[in-house]
Amino acid sequence: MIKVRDLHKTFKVHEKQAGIKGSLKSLFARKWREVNALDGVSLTIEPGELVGLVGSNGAGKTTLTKILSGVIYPTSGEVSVLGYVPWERKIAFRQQMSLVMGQKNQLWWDLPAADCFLLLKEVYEIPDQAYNQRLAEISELLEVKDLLSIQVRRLSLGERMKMELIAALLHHPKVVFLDEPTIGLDITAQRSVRRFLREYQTRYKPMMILTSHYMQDIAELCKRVVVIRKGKIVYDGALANLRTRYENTRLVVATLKNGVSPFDHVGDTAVEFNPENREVRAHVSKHSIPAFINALFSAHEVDDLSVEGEDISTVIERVMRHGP
Amino acid sequence: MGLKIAAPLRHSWLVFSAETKRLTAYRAQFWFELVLSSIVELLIALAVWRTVFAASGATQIGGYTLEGMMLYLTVAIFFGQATKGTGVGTFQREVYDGSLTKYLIYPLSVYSYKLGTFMPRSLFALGQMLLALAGIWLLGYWPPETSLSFEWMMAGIVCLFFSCLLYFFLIILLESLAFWADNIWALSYALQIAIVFLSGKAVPLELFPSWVRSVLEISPFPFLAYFPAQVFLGTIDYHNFVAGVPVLLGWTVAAYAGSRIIMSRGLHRYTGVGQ
Repeated sequence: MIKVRDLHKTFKVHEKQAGIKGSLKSLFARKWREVNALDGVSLTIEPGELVGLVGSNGAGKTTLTKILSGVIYPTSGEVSVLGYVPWERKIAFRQQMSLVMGQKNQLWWDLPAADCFLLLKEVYEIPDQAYNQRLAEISELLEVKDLLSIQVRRLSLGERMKMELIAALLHHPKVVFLDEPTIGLDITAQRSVRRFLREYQTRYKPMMILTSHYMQDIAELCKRVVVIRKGKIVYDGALANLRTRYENTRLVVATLKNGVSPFDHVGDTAVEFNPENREVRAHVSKHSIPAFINALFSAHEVDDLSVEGEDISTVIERVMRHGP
Repeated sequence: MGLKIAAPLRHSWLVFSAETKRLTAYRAQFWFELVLSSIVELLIALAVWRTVFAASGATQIGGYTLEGMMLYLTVAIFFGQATKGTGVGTFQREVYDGSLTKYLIYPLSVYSYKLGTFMPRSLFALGQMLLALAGIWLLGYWPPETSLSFEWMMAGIVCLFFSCLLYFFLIILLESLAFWADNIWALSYALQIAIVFLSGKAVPLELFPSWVRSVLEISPFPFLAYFPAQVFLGTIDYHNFVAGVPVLLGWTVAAYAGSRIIMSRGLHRYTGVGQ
């Protein structure tokens, strides 16, 4: 279980004026600014949950992940991960957790992945049989069995990320922090990583905290999302509820029976009308849909009608940018 | 208790073998960095001293004959290489670019890991030194006034082990300043230059003015090359050996304690940001 209470993290950053004058001035006197990366974050994550942590750049997601994994200290607040205070970095804690950072290589760049895994086998004290079985299983799921003897630096970005995932999961951690594991990967590799994470989580049920800028990752993998904005949690709940609560508009698409003169409004709502296929499209506020449909049916003969919910990515992005 | 001690040692050994695999992963780099560079350094030092002896017309300088100087430099240069391990700059770079993170998440201590990566180069240097000594003997340049004894050689290797630890802890101590200043490459580089001159790796300490020697004797620098080299060659008198060992051990313990304290404080400031 992960429990976080009133977590704060403040960084002091140096502000330098642009230009050579600013550079020279900064040699003697520096101006510092305090940035509240986390501002009173509280949350609880139950065993076996896969939680999506989303937010714009600089929102505080990676800072939260680093504190939860024990890489950095908080300024104040309480955190318990599996019963440990992460930044005390007890060996028993580190044996039960993993951190995968999509932007950082944690394997030994100059060694084949197989050698890296052997080292990790010893570090995590994984028995031979369990190691062989897990390596075979995970490398098969990720389709990289034939690449294990190739130097890590010679692998493609996607292949390397898959190796990072193997390294992170060989010891069957109880909690896995995934910080942008699909960043920079092509669509196929992203899909493959997502498929693997879903499969692994279903089989072994570790707690997983997934940070990603790709909303597709969150939408496909996480039932629960935590949205962080300017260091504060602005939404923590089911992904499905996020849509219900924050969806602003829905897309109404109607096909008219007969050709009509071009028009750009139905009632008070602006619409796009395509005379060629007689299609009317309008983004209509959720509460105005019945009135819009009534107005549409009163003014035109409608052949076909559909109402589509807003894409979940759009909803999340809106909450990330503007708050709930 | 036994397990607590055994685990870091086992981890160091595992990292040691991984680092050895890494060092031998690139053949050209291995031969250039670990073999050729040491040979070139040694040949330059020997050529300089041969010229100095020829120009001065002296048969002895600072109590060293030309052959004695060649023998001392051979041991001091390779001992200097051995104590240097992975060299300076690595730790401060890891703090600077955030790659220190990986040592913080794996269940092993940063010290076990870093020592494991430090030691393979030390062993390579020791092996090279033994080959170089064999070469000097075979070519007939062995000074008649020096004869190696097994006891002094073993004592020298034990001192060298502590010298490696001392260098390692000093580097961690100094480079932990990167937690505060981010980039301290220039400071690391200055330390490296100071070590080359003050450790006796380039010039035996007998050639320094006596007041400089008095200061150096209580500093950690001579223990990084000069002291273990003298012990290995058996050219140190017993009194100086007995006086020097506690100083070496004292500096090692002090550097270890200092590095633990400063790194522990520095980790509170670590942000893990970088490329």
